[in-house]
Amino acid sequence: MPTRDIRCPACRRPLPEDPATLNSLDRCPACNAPLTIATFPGFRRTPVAGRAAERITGEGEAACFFHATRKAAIPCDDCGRFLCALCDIPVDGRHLCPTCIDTAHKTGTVRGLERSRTRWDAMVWYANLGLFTVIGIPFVTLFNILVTIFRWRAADSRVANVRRRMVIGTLVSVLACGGLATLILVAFVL
Amino acid sequence: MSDLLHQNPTYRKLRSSLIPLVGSSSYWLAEDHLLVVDVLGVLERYRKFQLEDIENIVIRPNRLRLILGLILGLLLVPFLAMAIGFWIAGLTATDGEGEPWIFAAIFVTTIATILLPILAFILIGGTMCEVRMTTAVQEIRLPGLYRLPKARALVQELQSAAQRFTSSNANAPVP
Repeated sequence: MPTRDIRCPACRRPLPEDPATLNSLDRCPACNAPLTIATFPGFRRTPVAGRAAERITGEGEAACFFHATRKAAIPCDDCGRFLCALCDIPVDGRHLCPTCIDTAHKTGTVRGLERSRTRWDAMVWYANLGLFTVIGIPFVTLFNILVTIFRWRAADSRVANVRRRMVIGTLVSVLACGGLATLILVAFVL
Repeated sequence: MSDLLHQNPTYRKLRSSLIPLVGSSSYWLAEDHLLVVDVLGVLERYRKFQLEDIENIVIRPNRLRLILGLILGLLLVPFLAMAIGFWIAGLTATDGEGEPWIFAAIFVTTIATILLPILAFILIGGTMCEVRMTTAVQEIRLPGLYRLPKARALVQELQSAAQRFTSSNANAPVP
């Protein structure tokens, strides 16, 4: 079993390596700080060596685009460049080169690389805080309407119905604007 | 375009919690990985951890509940005392002299009414804690897990899922 360097989060001193001992600990043996440790199957797993790119051994063998002395193993599914085993990056069932991975991440074309999204509904609701200042009401309303229109297609989330929240937030600001207009009408015109 | 997790049968929600004034975090379990979704302000961030890569999770109780409870308690006690005093003064005053006391009592009672549920929220729910997960290449703090009983329950579920996944992979036929 491989050795793991697991340390107490309080005193940073090494803890016992045996999973059974770790799972039964309720305090650090060194500093007595209370803690609970849960080990997982990965704790006992032997690290697997990564793939090595083969060297070109003879004339006429195709070479990797990024490593001229390494044998090409597979073409990139996006740009078609030949890749060695080291440059081949499997993602979402496709094989991509490092350059295409970088492009795919920037353009958001590969779901598996997605790390974040912008919550446009949260932007609308944070802007609604400006409704508490009377003078901010029309600006907030305009901002919310523009965000809802121009960011409608981009509004997406994995945990919330963003478009519905955007619409409700915008409606709140529109109602506030309408209320303010009515007040001005009643106070100064009628 | 929507790919809401709660509509996706691949994922099962383990837990979600609010991070006061900032956002929320939620934990979603698939067969072979854990997906942590943090919403901080206007950014929704995703982090995926393969169950076979998780080495250990350390839960460390801290004194946050005690410290926050003490601070809020020390703030609340004088407000409660003032509220009681002002109400008594206001209600027992004669010749209309009670009005300023009543206004002061309402003001102080309002503040106490705001502080009291916050104090109750801090005290109820158990000891607070910090949870850290280690893989072969990183050690990260798991957000939104600040209550010991709920953190332990989530870690236990993760452990069971990881054991199930490892057993099913070990038994899988070799192609």
